[in-house]
Amino acid sequence: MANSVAEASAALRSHAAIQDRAGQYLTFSIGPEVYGIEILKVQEIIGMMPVTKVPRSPDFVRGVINLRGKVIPVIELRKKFEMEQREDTSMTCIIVVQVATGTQSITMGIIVDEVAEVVAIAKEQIEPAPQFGAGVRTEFILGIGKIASKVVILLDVDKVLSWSELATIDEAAKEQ
Amino acid sequence: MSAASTSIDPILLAEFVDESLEMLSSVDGLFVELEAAPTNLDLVQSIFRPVHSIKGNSAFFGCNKVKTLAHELENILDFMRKGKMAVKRDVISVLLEGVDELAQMLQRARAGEEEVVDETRFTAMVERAKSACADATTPVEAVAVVQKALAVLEDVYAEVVASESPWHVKMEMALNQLRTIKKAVQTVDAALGDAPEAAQAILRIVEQPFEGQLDAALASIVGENIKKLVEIAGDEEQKAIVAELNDTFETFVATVGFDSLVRDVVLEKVTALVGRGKWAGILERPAATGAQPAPQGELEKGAGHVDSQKTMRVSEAHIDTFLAYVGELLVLGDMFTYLQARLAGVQHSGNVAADFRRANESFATLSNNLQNSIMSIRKVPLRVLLQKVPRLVRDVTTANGKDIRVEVLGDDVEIDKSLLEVLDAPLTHMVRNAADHGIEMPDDRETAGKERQGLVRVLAQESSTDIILSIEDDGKGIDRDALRVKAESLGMIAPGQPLTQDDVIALLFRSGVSTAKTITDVSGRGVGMDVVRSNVEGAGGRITIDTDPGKGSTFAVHLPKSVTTQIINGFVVYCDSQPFVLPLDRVLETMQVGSHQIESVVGKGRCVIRHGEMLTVVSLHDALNCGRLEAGTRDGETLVAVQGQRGRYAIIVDTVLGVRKLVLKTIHGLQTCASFVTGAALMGDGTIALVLDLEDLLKTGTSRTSTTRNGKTPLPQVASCRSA
Repeated sequence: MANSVAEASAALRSHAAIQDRAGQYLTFSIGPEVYGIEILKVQEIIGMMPVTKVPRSPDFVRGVINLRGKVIPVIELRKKFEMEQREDTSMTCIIVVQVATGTQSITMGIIVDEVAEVVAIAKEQIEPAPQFGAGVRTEFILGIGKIASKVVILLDVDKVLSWSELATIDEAAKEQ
Repeated sequence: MSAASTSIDPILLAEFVDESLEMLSSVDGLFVELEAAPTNLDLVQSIFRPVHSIKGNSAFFGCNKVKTLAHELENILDFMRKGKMAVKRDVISVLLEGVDELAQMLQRARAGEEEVVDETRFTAMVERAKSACADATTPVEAVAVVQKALAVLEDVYAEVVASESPWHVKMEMALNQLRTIKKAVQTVDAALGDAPEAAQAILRIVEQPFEGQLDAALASIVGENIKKLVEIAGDEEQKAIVAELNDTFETFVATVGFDSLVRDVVLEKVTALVGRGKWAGILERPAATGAQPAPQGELEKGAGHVDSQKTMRVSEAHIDTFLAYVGELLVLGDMFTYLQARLAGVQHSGNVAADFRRANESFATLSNNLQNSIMSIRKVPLRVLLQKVPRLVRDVTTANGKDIRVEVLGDDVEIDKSLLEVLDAPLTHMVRNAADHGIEMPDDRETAGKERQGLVRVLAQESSTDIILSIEDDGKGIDRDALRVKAESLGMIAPGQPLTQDDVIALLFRSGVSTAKTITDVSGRGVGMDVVRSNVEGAGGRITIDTDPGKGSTFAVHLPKSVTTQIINGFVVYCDSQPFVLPLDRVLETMQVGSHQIESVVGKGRCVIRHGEMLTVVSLHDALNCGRLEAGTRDGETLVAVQGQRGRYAIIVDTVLGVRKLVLKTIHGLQTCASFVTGAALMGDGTIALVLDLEDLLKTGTSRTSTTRNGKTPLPQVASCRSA
């Protein structure tokens, strides 16, 4: 009994958290899927530019770029999401985002296939991330947005790109 | 806390604290000098000034406790500089302790905390300062005043006896005099512990205020005790005072009764008496220094060695930002040079290329000057740091009774402010270590055939690339055998294994942590010496030890000058058509060798001979795990000989670009991914060159070529190199 109450309240809380997520999202596509990230996290969008490889870094790190004198790491979202590699096209873009790690904020770039548009998503349009069961990682999904007939996967960019995650992945790579 | 945090502008407060701390930091060394030359009142004056100004300012900032303590310290110093008080070791200890406390209180005030953490300790310190002061004041000032007052009293007494005239007016004058005495001797009250019992009994009674007449019984007790005092009075002067007191008392009680006026007289006289008894021996002391007071003019000149150059305070953040911009400017300049080269290659560019070159040259000169000037802004003389050395040694000698002379050389060397912070803790530790563990006790030194007085020499030097701070002692040196035993017991080395320089350092810094209380006052910030060491190494420096058993040891910290300098001269090499930067100060030379000259040596991996020395070869491609051209398409190998911490190595690269001016950038968010990449540097054309951590690279490179633990070990490549 107590358990079910706790579950229900947890569900309520998470639903309430989702309600807060209404706002403007920058949508982009990787393969057939459409993703969205909070517009406030986005610093700018730049076209593809030469990326300097960093040897012995995790494979989802494409390398570093020189963004007007600032050197920032660039993450390959395709690799990160374990999707198939493909050649860059003229539509390939780098979205420069501000990632919060603990107290400081880090500037990073994410490579996406194509940038779509900025959309406003109301709270009624957001559903919590579906639970797929064990083995499917959904912690970096804020929720699922429904716009007309389309589905937008809303990403928690802090979790996708957090330094700590980079660290754990790096550790894992070392152990192998 | 108090007003400081509520109404005072925190920026002003921080400025006040910074300024005060700076002033206080110069004072430590002066105290030690003063101890060596107690008659040099100029030094006292130099110490007096900062304490005085802190006292003045602290009240404005609401730091009342700082003011209280500073006031007491100032009193002592004031007596010293007026020659009324001898400069003695115990008094200096009180002063040093007080100055330390002031610094800590100020820091706490800046942090918005309470000024005083341990109230009782603070009070005790203030009391010590007060009593040190009272020691000096009572005999000199109070006695004089008392005697003056007594003279007046005697007059009055004579007149009262001689005539019926209205004596109240004169009595009033006497009373005023007595009030003055009261002020002067108030401090004596604190020291009543030593007073004779009879005097205490009197004081207990007369200290209680009362209206009208004192109870007759109590008055008689006072009378009895005064009689006792007459009997126990020691020297002539005491006897005189007691006799006076007795006469006065009897006369007054017989004529006007024991009223408050009599009470005051008795109180002051007994108090003075108590003071005189206790401090009788000290009276001669001030005379020694007072005999030759410095002329006022000299006192005013005071601290001759204070730099009178005008300064201004700038926040470090502003300078860093400025420096960052200057860095970008230099890269831009490099870009111009690159464009200029391209323009020169374009046909028919003619005059434009020449004009551009001229403009570019002026630009380069200007930006270089700009860089130099901004770097010099960040520089501070090492004096700021080294002036605390004498004090550190003094603390040790006070504790263990050694006799040590301190020499500080090269304190005018200027270094970047950030390096100052890196050097602070190692200096403290090493100086204490030298004084505490290095130098022997005077008797032992004599037995060993040395002078009784030990020597600790601190020497700062700069080379073209490094700042070297060495701490030298002529003590007993380091007993390697004892160290080895310790290292073995700690499991740091295998039994019988020779002790390397690294082990010695690791052990000394570690054992330093474990030895006793010295460390707790060394840092007081909870910084262990292993942390200090890693700080030095983190700043690109190293610590070396040179020891000669029986003759002494030298510890040295080598730090590269350009820790925060974001503009570096890097050595750029290419690997897999991507540029990488090696630290220029480690590069020895580049060389071209035929592939056959690289040979495989059992137990060492691949090696090459350079100037008769065998260097271990590390392939940059293998270390970085990136591809390279087939061995057959190359005539030979391009090697860069480098100086690693554990010896010399040769690194195989594709091509060498050479020395370039680069702007260092940190890459946030990638630290954990690529440990051997310390940062990125921007080249003239805007491309990014990764800066490599040489030690890490060498470690990776050697482990990859000498072991097969990794599936990617490029053993076949080794074979192909050799067969080519």
